[in-house]
Amino acid sequence: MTFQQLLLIHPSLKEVYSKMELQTSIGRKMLLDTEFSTSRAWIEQQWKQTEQAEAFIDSLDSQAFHHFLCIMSNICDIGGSLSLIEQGQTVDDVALFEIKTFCINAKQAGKLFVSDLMPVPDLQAAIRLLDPEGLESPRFYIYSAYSEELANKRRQWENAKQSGDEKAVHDLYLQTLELEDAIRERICKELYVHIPALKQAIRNISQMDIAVSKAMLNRQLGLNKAEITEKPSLVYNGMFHPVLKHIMLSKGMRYQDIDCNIDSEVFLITGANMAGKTVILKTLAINQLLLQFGFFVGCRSGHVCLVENVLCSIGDGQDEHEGLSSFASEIMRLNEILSQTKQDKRYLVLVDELARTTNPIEGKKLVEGFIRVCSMQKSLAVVTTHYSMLQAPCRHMRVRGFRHENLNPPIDIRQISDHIDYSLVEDDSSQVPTEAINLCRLLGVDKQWIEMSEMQV
Amino acid sequence: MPFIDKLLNYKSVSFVGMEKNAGKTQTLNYVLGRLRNFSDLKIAVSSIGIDGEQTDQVTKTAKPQIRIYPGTVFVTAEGLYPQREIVSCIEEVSKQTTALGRLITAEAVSEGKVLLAGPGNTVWLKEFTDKLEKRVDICLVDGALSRMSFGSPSITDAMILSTGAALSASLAKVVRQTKFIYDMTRLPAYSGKTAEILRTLDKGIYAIEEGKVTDLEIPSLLMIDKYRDRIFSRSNHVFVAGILNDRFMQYARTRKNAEDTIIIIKDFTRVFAKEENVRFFLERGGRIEVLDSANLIAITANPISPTGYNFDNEQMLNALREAIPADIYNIKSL
Repeated sequence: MTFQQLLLIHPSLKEVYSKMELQTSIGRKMLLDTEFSTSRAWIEQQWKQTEQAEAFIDSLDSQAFHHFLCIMSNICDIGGSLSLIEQGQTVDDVALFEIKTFCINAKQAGKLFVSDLMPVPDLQAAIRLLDPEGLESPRFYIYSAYSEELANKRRQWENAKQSGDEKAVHDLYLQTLELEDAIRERICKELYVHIPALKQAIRNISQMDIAVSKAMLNRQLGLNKAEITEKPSLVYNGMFHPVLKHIMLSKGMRYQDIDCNIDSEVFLITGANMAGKTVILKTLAINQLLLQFGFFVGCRSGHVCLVENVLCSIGDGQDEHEGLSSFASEIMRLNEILSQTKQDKRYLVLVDELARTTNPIEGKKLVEGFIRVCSMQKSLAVVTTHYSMLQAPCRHMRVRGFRHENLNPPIDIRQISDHIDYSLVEDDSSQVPTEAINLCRLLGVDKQWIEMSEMQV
Repeated sequence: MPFIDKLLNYKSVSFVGMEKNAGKTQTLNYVLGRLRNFSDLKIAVSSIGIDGEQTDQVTKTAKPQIRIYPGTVFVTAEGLYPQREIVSCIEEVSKQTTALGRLITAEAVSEGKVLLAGPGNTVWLKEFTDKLEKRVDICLVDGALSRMSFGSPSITDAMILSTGAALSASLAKVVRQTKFIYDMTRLPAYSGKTAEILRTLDKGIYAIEEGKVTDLEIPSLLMIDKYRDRIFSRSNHVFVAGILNDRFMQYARTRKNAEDTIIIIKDFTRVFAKEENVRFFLERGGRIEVLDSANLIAITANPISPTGYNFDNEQMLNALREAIPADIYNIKSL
């Protein structure tokens, strides 16, 4: 799947994308068309390019960097015009102007950002062709310098205008147009030989744009490189959700990075409400996507394996338009996930509170069954649940949850993260935390409601 | 050279026609022809929407094209650029697109005729004009049809208004309508403390009391009947951020203390109410004040209508000059 297709499925990826400051339409197009990669070599190549971009940014002061971004922002997409020229067609002055300015700007960008991985090819011959006056300024017309005949004809045209002979003016005007057409045709034919270099320049400028915006993103979101491992595991030290952490810190809120070590055994997470189980799943999803599109990821360090795809069931997913209830929608989605994991490839499967919308007795059985099926496949699976005493082969993990010290109810729901320890611990008890009513009390909800609830308990 | 010296005091000037064929393009051609005598002056000419067609699309009458001279920067659309009768050098292609393609900014290498185009909305026009102003000494903006909002003082520094027989076969009506627009350009400037706050507001109606601005929470002027009691509930001084329409003016002119009422608007192009509603309000002692005053350089009048009838030159000029104390010229004798 391409980056663009996955943007529609994963809102977190869209949020990261919206923070990228791509300067060119060709860079944006290349990124959107990029396939989710399972090639270690490709990902590592992307990282090297990003590291070169980081070193490049470090080497400039802010004014020089701004100048570089301005040059990049003036680079337009000349792919369509090059295709026409390749087909033997003649393009108009606007297209030739764009090819010329592309060459000038690409040359300038390549001079500033010297990269052996994304070198801008020599475009001087193409520039000379579009710049007969040798001024190298970003402007274009069919210059009189192209042909003595055209220069003479234009002079005659100007003289005729002075004489007031309307017919002569019109005839000479048409003759200048014919000469301009012939020159345009000649330029396009001569440009043909430069098309491979121009196409290479489009690719490398696009890559340069992506690498620089990834490097800027690393600064903004604190992303780091994770090692790729062949072992079927996801090991993160100091893992965080890049966008969520950025938002919370910018609002002066606390964000806790966590460690996790997921292997081929199904990873079952329990924890109190609001303890961040869903965030863990979303973090694993966005980091895997970023990794396999050649980005750095949200962690201090990590050893992460590559997967075929990230398959998620997170959120309600109720599709009223298709007449499906929450339960039916979830079950159909999980069924689709299982059918994919049976293709003998390694996927990352992330399921949030499986079967929570049905009765607890059958819900628990459905969770156990799903875990058993998953444990027979190659995929890595992480499942969160509120069901206790599950009898299925998996690693039981628990979010530590509330720190009960210094808790004076009611507490502000916006400050709740200050009172939760989000770290994961092994938990063999198979018992889920029963903190929901306590949590309601802490949040200061209706006392009668709490009393009545406790009576029933 | 009538009004050219005055025009040179401004960085940007819009040419606004009260009706199609009122002589706006001829006025622009006159100005461009005169400005070529100032050899050091760098000029840019753009338009709002598409104008300068060889034949008027509505009345099918011959329409003068814009004639420009070497060194003048002009703006047109990608679809119209090949129709120029001039040698010109492309300097910029916009990223945004109009119905006729992207905007091309080019510099004339020879003298000749061009078809102008420009941004299709006021926000883009403002950005575009500001950018052009940085590279030239004076920027002339050709308004399209009678879209007065593009002559807003928030976009260009000054304006030239074109009127004439195209408006009506009745000279009295032409004079009355022209005088009304002239009067609107002369609306007094609001000098209150809250002017800078008001400038930042885009919609809604606000009460102004002792340097304080309060949102009256009236969602739309179209719903004025429902909220009419709320309008002047806090103060007789209100700011209308959007347009001033007939319903609002009808209510303002008929209320008891119209004479104490001050309505503040952004600029004169926000008046969308009928002349009589505005006049009655002003005659009862009410005031309309503007945040941005207009600078009307001159009025040009065209005695010829596209449908065939003509006014007598002298009679037209005399009638207009008698009613309007502005510089008024016959476009044919410029």
